Amino acid sequence: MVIRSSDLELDFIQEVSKMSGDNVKSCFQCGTCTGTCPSGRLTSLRTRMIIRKTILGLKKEVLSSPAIWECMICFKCHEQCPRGVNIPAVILALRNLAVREGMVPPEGYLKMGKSVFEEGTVQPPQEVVTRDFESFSRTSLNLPGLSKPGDLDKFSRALGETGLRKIVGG
Amino acid sequence: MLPRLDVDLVEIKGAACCGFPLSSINNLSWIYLTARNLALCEDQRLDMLPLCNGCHLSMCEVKQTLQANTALKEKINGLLASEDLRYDGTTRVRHIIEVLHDDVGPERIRKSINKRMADLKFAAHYGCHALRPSELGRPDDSRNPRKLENLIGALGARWDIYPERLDCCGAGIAVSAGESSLKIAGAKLEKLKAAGFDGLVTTCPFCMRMYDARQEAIGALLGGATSFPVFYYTQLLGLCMGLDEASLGLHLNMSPVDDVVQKFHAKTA
Repeated sequence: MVIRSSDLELDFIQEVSKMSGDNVKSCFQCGTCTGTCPSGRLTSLRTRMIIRKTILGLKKEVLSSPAIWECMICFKCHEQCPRGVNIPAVILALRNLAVREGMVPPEGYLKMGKSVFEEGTVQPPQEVVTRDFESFSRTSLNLPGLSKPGDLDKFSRALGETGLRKIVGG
Repeated sequence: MLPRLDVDLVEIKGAACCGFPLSSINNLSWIYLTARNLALCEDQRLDMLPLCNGCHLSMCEVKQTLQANTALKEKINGLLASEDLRYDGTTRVRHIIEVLHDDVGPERIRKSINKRMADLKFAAHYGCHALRPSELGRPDDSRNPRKLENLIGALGARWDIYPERLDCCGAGIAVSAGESSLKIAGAKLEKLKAAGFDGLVTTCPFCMRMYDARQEAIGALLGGATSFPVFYYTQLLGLCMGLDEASLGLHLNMSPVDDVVQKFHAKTA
């Protein structure tokens, strides 16, 4: 891979460090994170490479990479990192920045966001079909309705002010 | 189960999502949603018991974040004001494993049951966020947890340490990489089956969903019938207290739990 100095955005690392509250720069590229990553065994996520590119300032490449969405936020890498880098916090910062830069996140996130505005939860309660092919709902199980914000309008308006409304639409 | 162990449960009035999945697309919305639930508990002057590991981590992390950042705390309070709520950060957040192990205790559980799970061997699955990140103070040790095993042992059942014990259920990428997520969950179930365990035990509903409710999808993807019983710890506890299967929701488990339940009844008959 050829890296051109014109591709480097040198303030990217400051932006990410500030957002994640983490000293990303202390990474010395040992690769323990990639070695412990349970997702990377199956997906395109190479944790060490994401951190390296972030430090270098390859902003566009990192933020448009599907790999940043393939982290499970399981904290295994963070727990093992000899430099104490909070990699999941870095990944979450990168995702937030990607969305801010106009990248479209995996659709499920947008659906969950919309549902919180409408229902208060990322998904409304579902009917289940059991292993014996019987259908049950909260009502048929005599369970009370799910707790919801008392005033959904006030709740949604406040939630919208966080910037979420602009991202998920509706 | 908890009221039977003298733990009173009160519903949080007006609760909504903790927002954890939304921290990926808008960090502030997550902090607002989590702080809102904490503020509702403050209003009712109650400890909070989030059942899901992800919710529990959210509550603990946001509490720490807002304690360290007064400006952000006031911003959140500005948003909460429209619902007449205020966040001060006084709610104590408890984990179900802490309540069962540290408050009630294995000894009390041992005395509260009238049937024992002899001859059944279970694998404990804590779930990532019950253990990590350790610096935030999690319910058990991040590298060598033992509380869930102690709780299983209190029922008279056997347990064992297994190599995949601290591994993720895969739910974290269900949205972005569905197939990989199922493969990660499936790999653990296959290993446990091969290792001779009778079932997997967890307390987290998110992990439960992956291992139990998604088991059919896992089987379809892996090209074989992955079939392995998965239980909530409280379901096993209820069986040992002599409660009937329907009241424990055992008919709602999607994994094949019947054989284990029958074995249990055969031994205790």
